[in-house]
Amino acid sequence: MKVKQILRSSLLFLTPVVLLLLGWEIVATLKIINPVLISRPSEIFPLLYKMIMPKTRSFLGHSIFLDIYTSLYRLLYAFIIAVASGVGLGMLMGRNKFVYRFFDPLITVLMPIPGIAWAPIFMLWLGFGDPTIITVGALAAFFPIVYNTAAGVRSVEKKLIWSASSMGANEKTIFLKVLLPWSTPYIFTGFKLALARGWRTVIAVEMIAASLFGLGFMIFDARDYLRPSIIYAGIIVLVVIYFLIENVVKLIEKRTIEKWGMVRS
Amino acid sequence: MRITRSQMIKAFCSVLPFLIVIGLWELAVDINIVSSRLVPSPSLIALKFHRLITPKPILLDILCMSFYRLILGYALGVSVGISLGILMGVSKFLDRVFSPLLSLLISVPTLAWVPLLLVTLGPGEETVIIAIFLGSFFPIVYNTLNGIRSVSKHHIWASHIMGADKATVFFEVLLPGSLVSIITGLRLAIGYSWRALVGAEMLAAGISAGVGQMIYAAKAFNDVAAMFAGLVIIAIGGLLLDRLLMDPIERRTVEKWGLVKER
Amino acid sequence: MKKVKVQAIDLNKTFGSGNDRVVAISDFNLEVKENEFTVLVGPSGCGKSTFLYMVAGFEKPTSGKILLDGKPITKPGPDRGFVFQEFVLYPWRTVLSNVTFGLEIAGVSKKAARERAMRLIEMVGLNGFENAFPHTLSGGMKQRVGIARALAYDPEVLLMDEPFGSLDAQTRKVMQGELIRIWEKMKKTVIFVTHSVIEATYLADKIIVMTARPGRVKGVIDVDLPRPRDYTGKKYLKIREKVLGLLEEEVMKSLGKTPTRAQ
Repeated sequence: MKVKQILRSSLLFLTPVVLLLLGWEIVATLKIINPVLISRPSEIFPLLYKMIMPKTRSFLGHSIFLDIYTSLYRLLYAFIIAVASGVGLGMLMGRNKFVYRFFDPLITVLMPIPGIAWAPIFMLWLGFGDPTIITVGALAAFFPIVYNTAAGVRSVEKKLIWSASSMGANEKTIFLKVLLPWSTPYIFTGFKLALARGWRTVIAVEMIAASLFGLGFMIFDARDYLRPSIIYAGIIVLVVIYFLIENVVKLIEKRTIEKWGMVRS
Repeated sequence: MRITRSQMIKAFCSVLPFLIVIGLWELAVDINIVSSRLVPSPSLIALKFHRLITPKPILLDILCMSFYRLILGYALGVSVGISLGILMGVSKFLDRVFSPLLSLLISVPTLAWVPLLLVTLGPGEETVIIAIFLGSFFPIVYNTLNGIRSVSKHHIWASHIMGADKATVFFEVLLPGSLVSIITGLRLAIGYSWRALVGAEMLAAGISAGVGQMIYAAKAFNDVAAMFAGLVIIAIGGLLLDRLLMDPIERRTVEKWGLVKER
Repeated sequence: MKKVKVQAIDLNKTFGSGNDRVVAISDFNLEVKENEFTVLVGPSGCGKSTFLYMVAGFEKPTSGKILLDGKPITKPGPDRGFVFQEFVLYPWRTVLSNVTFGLEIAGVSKKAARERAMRLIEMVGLNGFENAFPHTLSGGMKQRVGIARALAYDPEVLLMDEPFGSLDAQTRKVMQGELIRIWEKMKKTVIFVTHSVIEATYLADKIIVMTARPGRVKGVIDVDLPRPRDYTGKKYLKIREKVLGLLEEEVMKSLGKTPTRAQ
């Protein structure tokens, strides 16, 4: 019975979470730890509701949806830029040994640098707000895409290319009909990693480079008001968004690569 | 250690791109394609490094502070992470209790916890250390858990029939069997820790020297050379941690046992 | 008259419940005499490995019981030795320490354990490899270690689950000869599972043919030939034909077809 299964697994999932929230509420109410510091679930959820409704005057002055929307569109632009530049370079690297040998060491050294470390420089060059946040986000998302795309193209078995050439295919055809389809799962993995990295970076950079909107900014700014309940509310929103994005990606995966049987374990 | 000719050629090939980039970069700044106020030339960056070392070894202070925080946070993450991972791997009950909580918490970007830490712990060392802990904790728990789960049933059976009790199975089969995964977790965690360190230092206003702090502070003075120097330190630091720390561990254990392909 | 070493009485094993129920073995009765080499053959999925797992104590019967020296088997223990098809050696232990594992557990002194292990390593023909790690060995060598390991702590019965199934045809043949050589030295009760009739006829004192699932005993064939046996000998081939006839009927049944060979 599918319904029974779903109910059962939801229950298993929720029970520890609910117990934790209860314990939290009790600890805060009994003042075991200073409630100013940890706030209570019973405060957070109503606050969250208030923040969602644009009409009621929460301290933000605007609905939290605006912050969510801002962070998301920054992520989207960053992602698009990263894809546009990363896939191209990745494919070139995969196809041409010299391009690969040139860029690979550079990527190896630059990739581990956290996005937020780039932020001050870009803030100096591009100022506060969207330009910096989107650029740094794109930078963070760029590396996984190049890396994985290159890995994908490089992993094509020579024999697949040979058989296509012997059937008369030219470079362009080989690219479109052999390299591209083969690399798709790798590219997809790169996309997933890029989204994750980009999201983390956008939120982090917003903390120092945003001036009005954005989830990262909202959470960081709230520390000045000594109202941790806002921070918790923000964190909950982050969890929900992550959950949503993850499921959208899974859905896309199901409809495309899994259907074609090309998932790499 | 004997270095072969082919190894030297390989090393040179890896360094060549950097030399080319640095060369072009220096040229671009020197002939003013890019303003040196916005982009420092490599020579200016080198000069900055020089100033950080003499007359006073400021760089040493910075690195020591950062590494101190890194080690504490990482050690905390490793000890709590491996313990919890093992407990969850061995006890189905604990797994059911903690899995939902972990899967919720892992979806929060590490740095998003920092404002909370700032409010509860203040803008000091503890915030950075706990942030590092949070960064390293998750990959370690999950990889440890997976490692224990991945030990094949037959390997456990083989020890049972030889008379092994639960403790023996744990120490002689489960632990060594999960080592590959645990090391993967440790590897991932050191990278995450380094990144958390840099980010937390930039957000925690009250701390003294630090790698991330250096970059952020440099911005206030528009000191681009210092900012780039900081980036270089971050890049090299991250690379060294991975290669110098993890490779020897891997070589002595999982590579020796043939469980991982040798580089 | 040889003593009965292992006895299965009205054995039943069912997996799963409700619609996913699988009856692996039903009404299974068997007697294995001391120091006899008994081989179980049967079509795929007939439950022969399941039976072996129950003798080992890895699985428990749904009903019925298995007796070893008159005492019921409830869990795995060092009175039995097990050799797996996939070798199941511990990659982090050398050949020597894989073999001494059972002795370590039994609390035997390091010196005595090493001595005994070295004797076994020599007997299986792996002299000189005692300090090698499993991943450096070939399939045949790995299985020799498996056999040495199972015999090290002197079990009452040796259980072998398609031990040569992962080896290539050449190595397999060699190992069959080696196994008989070792067995004649150690004189143990052996229960050996295979789906190869050639192998069964070469090795066994007694061949037990199992039916398709749910597995029962279809027939028992005594093989009274002296060893080492000739794969091309007339008597050997006759017995082989006989076993094949019984087996083919069951294989066809498990595929849902009618047999072609006359009984």
